[in-house]
Amino acid sequence: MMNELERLKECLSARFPTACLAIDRPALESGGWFLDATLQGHLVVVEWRADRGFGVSTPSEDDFGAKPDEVYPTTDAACSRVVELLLSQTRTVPGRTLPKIRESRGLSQTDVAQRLQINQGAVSRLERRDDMLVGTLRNLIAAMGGRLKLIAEFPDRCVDIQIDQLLNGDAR
Amino acid sequence: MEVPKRERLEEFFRRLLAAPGVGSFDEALEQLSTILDAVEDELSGAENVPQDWQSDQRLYPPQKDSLRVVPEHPRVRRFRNRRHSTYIGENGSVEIVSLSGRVEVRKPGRDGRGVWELD
Repeated sequence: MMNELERLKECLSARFPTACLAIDRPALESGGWFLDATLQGHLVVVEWRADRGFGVSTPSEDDFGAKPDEVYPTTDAACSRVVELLLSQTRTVPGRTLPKIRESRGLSQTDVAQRLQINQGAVSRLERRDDMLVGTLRNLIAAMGGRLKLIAEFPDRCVDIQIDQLLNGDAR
Repeated sequence: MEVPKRERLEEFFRRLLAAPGVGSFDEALEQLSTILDAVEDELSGAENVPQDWQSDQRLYPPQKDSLRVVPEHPRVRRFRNRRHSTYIGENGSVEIVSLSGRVEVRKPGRDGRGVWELD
């Protein structure tokens, strides 16, 4: 039976018949699988683990041991991003800071400001803030098209925290 | 202070090549991991959190679940990461090769033999 990375390869193969697509299998099926996709000399590397989803990167020669730049939970989401990267010949955006997340969504501070009905300077200040209310962060992420989740990690399990219960009446 | 990735990588390669040769796969993996962790602790400014999935600007040693067999070379094992393969021989030899084919490091084992001289 085909796994999710092999499905991704099929999706990309249908979209780009001339692309070079190579799967690098781990010794154990549960290990980290890689798909190297090259189109017109532009390399996109996808790492997949059944328990983590897809990591997408456009690595440079300096990236020995670096983890994936961008993470996608589903085959469709990963496929869309790889198609975009191959067509545009652009690079993935590493890091998880708010400006990097915003840039990875193709949004300017002005775009986010318009969605939040605040000015661009306020977004700039929010992105540089050391500490932030959960409600503010939730709204900022929503303005970028995402949904904020909070997960508490314990040694034996992870627990989703209900964000609405953390917010006071004004922020809900 | 965060040192640029290329400089950290060159420091890692320099220390790895300067370290004494070892005699087994496990010793080579441990030596490589210890050296890279030390370089990143000193120079990356990023916490060591290998279990996290997304990039944190730190370079990590090969993870055991990225192990591969090497066809026709049963005495060599390979670790894959996003841009490189790290080959380690059962005699402790190491070779790090970029996806482009560029050999970044070639280090013999304690017996003086390289990764591809074991068969």
